[in-house]
Amino acid sequence: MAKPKMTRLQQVLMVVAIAVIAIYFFLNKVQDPLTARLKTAVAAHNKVVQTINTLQQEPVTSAALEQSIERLTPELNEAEAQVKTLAAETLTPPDKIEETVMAVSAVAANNGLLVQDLTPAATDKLQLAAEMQREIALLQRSCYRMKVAGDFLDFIAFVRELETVPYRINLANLSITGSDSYGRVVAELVLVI
Amino acid sequence: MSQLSLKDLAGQAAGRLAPLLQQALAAVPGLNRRLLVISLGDFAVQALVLAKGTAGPEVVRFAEATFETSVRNVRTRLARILETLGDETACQVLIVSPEVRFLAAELPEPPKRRFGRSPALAEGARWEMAPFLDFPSERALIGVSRLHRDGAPHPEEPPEAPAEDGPPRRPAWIFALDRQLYDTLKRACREHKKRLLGVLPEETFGWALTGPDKEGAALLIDWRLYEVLGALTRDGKPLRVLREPIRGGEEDHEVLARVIDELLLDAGEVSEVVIGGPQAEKADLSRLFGGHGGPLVRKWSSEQDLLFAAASGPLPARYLGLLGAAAGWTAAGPRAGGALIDVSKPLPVLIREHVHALPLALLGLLALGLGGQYLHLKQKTYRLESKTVQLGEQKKTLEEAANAESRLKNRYRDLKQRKSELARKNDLLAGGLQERHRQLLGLLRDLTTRIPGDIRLSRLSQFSDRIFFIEGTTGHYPAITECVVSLKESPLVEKCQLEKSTRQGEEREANYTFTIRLRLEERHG
Repeated sequence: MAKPKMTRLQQVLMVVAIAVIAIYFFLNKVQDPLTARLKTAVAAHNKVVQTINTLQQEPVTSAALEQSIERLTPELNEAEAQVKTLAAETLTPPDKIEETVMAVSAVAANNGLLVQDLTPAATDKLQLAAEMQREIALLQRSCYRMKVAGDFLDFIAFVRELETVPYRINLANLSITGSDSYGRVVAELVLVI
Repeated sequence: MSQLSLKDLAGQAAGRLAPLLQQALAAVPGLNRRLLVISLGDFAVQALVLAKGTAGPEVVRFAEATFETSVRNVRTRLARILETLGDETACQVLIVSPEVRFLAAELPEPPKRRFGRSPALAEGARWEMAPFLDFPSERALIGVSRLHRDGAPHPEEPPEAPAEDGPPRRPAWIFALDRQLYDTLKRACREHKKRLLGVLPEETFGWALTGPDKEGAALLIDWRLYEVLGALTRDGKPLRVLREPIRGGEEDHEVLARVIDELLLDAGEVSEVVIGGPQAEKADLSRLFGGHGGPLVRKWSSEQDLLFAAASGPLPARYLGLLGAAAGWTAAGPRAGGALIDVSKPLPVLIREHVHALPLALLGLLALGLGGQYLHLKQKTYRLESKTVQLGEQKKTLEEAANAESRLKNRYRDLKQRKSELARKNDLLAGGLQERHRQLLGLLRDLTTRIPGDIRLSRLSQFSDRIFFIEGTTGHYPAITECVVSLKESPLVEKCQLEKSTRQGEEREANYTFTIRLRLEERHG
């Protein structure tokens, strides 16, 4: 049986159909993905360009910084050595804190004060002034809560004689109460060793 | 010097501008409708320039170039006539050539409603013409001019009886030209920036008798130097052509009479015999045909015998062949005129024969366009991505430099902070701690010396490093003021103020409780 031939109209319609299908597939399978890829590439390109512009706008100071660091380093070494020497002379070494506490207690007793409390305390629980806290942390000093009772003038003498202790002692959060007609007071303070 | 009026100046300007305007218009392809018709003879080349007039084609120029000896070179002949014509703006050229072979035959009638030329008809014409050609028939350009059914058959070759089962046959003129010669003519025209429309046979001179009053049969004779061409026409259309050479020792009028007599055999009743051609210009026809008992014999006249006339007066009779070819072309077109054109098939026929070519070409164009678009996008994306990669490397380098600088800045900042801490430590250790202790001790001492005796302190509390509150009681209020003033005078105190005071009890037994706020001087270190 002979295969029937297509009419002219059918042939034209077939060509049109092929063209439409080709355009449809091209747009969907080729054009759109390529366009999306192009858009992505454009966005990435713009982002990189923007970053480069930002980076190029920042002044380059590496050389000046390196010079400053080179100049600072020996100064710091010298300052550290000096501070270390001073700290060794002034502050109580960690292994001699108990001895210092005993010395303070002895000074109080020698001045007629009754030591009612002398216990170590954590810095963050003492409600110290901010500046004092920073100093204690900076110099890594220890704190003791102290309570003494006695004559006010004896207390002054106690404070004065604290300078005779080999290492520097400071007082903080001083609170003196209970002064009667005989001059007897109770002093609560934080001993910074 | 003569004075020129505005009218004269305008006339001169128009005279100068007219050729320029004409040249400018001729340069526009769509507006230049002039036609140059050239007859290439061995001893003379003639040319006509036709233009489209209001009442039809008009002869605007004619020229002739003659040679003392025979010139066969086409380019030379064409160059000579164009040189004679001068600045001619006509771009389209028709050439009348004696090289076109002619044959009268009967060809199968093509089926009706057939558009354009039938390939079978052309092949039949080629087959009929092949024995009379001195070059391969495959190389021949074939032109066919079909005649009317009422045309007289050729006496020497009576028409074959139509086959009972075959198609009907019809008288026709077949023309053939060597394609090589056609190409030579085409190239020669192109060298002079002209376009060859086609090549016409000399037998088309019969169309030179196409005036409005040409009813009935007539004879037209082209009397040349070495031959006589005769055409039998009916109602202004040629039916039969006869070419008779003038041999040595033979009188011209004898040959003329023989041609006329032979054509009259087919024509029957003929109204007149018209004689043109180069030899007829000076001939005395009344003397030659005075005793002729037949129809009226007269000279051919372009004004009387053509639909269009020369603009500059009547044309000489030697332009008969050219005018006939031009009239055949303009009146009946290339098919009826038997013109030989390189493009043997019209474009619509080609399209119909290759019906799939156009859709396939469109599909190809579509594919080409889509492919081009794809490549364009691909290339654009590739270039952008490559550039982004390059910029990414530059960005990486810049970021590394920025990170290194940031690390340097952080290190420098740490060092500065460290230096500041060390300076603070140094200040504290070198004297700051001791100063603080002595300041506190000084304050305690001042309390013993600067507070009046009738004040009894009840509380001393340290609010911060430099701020203290003093609470006490007294029975004598001015002592409080005295206390404040006295404390203010202390070098340790920066500021001293009475924060609050309250009275308890009546009049003389009243006690005053007060609170004083002290701020110590700022220490150095």
